Amino acid sequence: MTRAMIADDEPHLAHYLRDQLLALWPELDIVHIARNGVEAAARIAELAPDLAFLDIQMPGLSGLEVAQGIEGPTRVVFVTAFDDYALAAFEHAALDYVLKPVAAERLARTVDRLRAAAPVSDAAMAAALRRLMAPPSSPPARLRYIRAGQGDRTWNLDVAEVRFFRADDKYTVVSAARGEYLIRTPIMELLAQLDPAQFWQVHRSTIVNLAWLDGTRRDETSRLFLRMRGHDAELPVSRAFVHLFKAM
Amino acid sequence: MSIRTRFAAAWHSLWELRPRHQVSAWDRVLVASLLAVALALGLMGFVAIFGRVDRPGWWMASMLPNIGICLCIVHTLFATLRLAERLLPAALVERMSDVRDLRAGMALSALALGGIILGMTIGFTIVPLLVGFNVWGMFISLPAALTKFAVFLLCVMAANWAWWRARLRRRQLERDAAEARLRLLQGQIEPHLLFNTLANVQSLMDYDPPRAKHMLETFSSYLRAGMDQMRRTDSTLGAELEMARTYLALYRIRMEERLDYRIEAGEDALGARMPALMLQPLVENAIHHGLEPKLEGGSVVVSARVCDGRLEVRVRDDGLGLARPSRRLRPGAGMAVTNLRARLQTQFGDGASLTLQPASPVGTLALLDLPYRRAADDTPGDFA
Repeated sequence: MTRAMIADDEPHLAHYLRDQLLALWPELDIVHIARNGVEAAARIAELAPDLAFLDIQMPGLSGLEVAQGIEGPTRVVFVTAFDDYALAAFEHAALDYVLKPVAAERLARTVDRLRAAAPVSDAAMAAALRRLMAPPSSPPARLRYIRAGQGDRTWNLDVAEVRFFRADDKYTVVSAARGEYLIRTPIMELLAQLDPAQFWQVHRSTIVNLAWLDGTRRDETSRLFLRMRGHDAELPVSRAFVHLFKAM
Repeated sequence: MSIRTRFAAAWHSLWELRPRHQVSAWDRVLVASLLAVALALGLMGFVAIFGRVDRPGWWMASMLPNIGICLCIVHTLFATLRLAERLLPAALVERMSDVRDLRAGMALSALALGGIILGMTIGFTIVPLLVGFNVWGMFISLPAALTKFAVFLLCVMAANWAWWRARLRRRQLERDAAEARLRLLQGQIEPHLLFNTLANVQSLMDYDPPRAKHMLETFSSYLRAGMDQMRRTDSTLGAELEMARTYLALYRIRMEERLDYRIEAGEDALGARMPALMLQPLVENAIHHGLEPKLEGGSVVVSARVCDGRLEVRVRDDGLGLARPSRRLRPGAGMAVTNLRARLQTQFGDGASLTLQPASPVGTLALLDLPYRRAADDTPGDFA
């Protein structure tokens, strides 16, 4: 039986979608309805549903951000009222999506596609998300040094010394050879300024420096983790970025 | 800035009546002096061609006095204009600078004429002291010269008036075209809002029919207020607030307890004239960038007051604030503020401003500062 989750900040819209889906697909098991992006991300990690219907405009995290953070095998279907820009990207990458207000015929076609189990490639998904979430400015000059604070001192770090960047609430943690530092620049902004051949985004909140990559590990649920040299904890790789390591 | 654009800016600034000028005073003095020299040489050329010049040394002898007198006239004229824009009430200065009606035009001409006559008097008094040559006496003693001069002055003024009118009309056309384009952009009912509301009504019809009905009613009020505003160029704050109120009411139904809003404006503010669709983008920004993406939601306060002849409109939210990089789901989002500033510039020049600042403790404060003008009594604010 296929297990699915719905995330929408307007509960009656989620309930309506659930009823429409169940009418077309009675064997579907809707395991949870989330009211915001943060709850959706947590529940997907916990319940690992087969399908996640994500509203794009949600408080906390947008549907796109939630999709980028998924580590397990969950297949994403975006739900949106109207985002011509996003819709164009979805069409282009053949991503699954549902339009609000829900039209029964259209939903039936989406359901047929989902039941035929022809998932979108992870690479196409990643490319579409990256395009949709790119920071607005044109690519700025490449970053070589990072000024980072540590207590009452600041340090000038060469990006080559950086092991990885991880988003942490309001800050970005910089893990470097000599320790950990905090900076205020958001992950997406850093990504646009770093050399894409050396720095890879592997998760919604993580950018790693390939020069420091020690190896990878796949767990029993086929989730991928990275080991970084000189760092004990492993870093999870989300679904949208797993394809990067398959090619290695 | 190249010399040419600097001089051009100074030249335009000389003729404009505004409380504040952005061009340096020295540039303007220099340009005015050049104008005076050109005017003196032009007048002498005119006399040399059409008048009777019997003395051989005439050219050399009258050059300096002529230039001196013209310098006095030109500088006094511009000094009068500068003094007027500082001393007269702002509303009158604005009317005069736009030459909106015949009275404003006459007042402006009278001002210029007064400046020219005063300048001549000063010139005729000072210049003889320097060159030892009684210009005053010579001028007064020749009635024919006086008449000719009066006719000449009237011709100059009439030409000036016609040129001023034509320039203003052209400017008004350009301004209207730019305004229409920007207003069209700003007035579009967002498709996302339209479809989302329809989706809401679709689902509410099954689960909560009274709420579906309420939502449809609120949405039609919003559409009606929006269409109304879109057709008008000049609106009132009352009508703008009515549109904001229906919009916020619609979002209140969707976001439920996640959104609170308040609208505060006094009687005098409600009747203030303002360009249509200036407030709406600020309220939309507060919702889209401030509160909708915030987990716990928050509140929007729209307030307006009249203070020292200015209309101050504030849109305050306690949302995510300016520091958070905005979600860019649609390209062109974030253009709203740029568009608004462009519209303010075409309509008010430096007389209006829009500032965005962090609100304390959290959120964003948008402050719109406009000249206060009461709307004509036949178009009262619809907002009660």
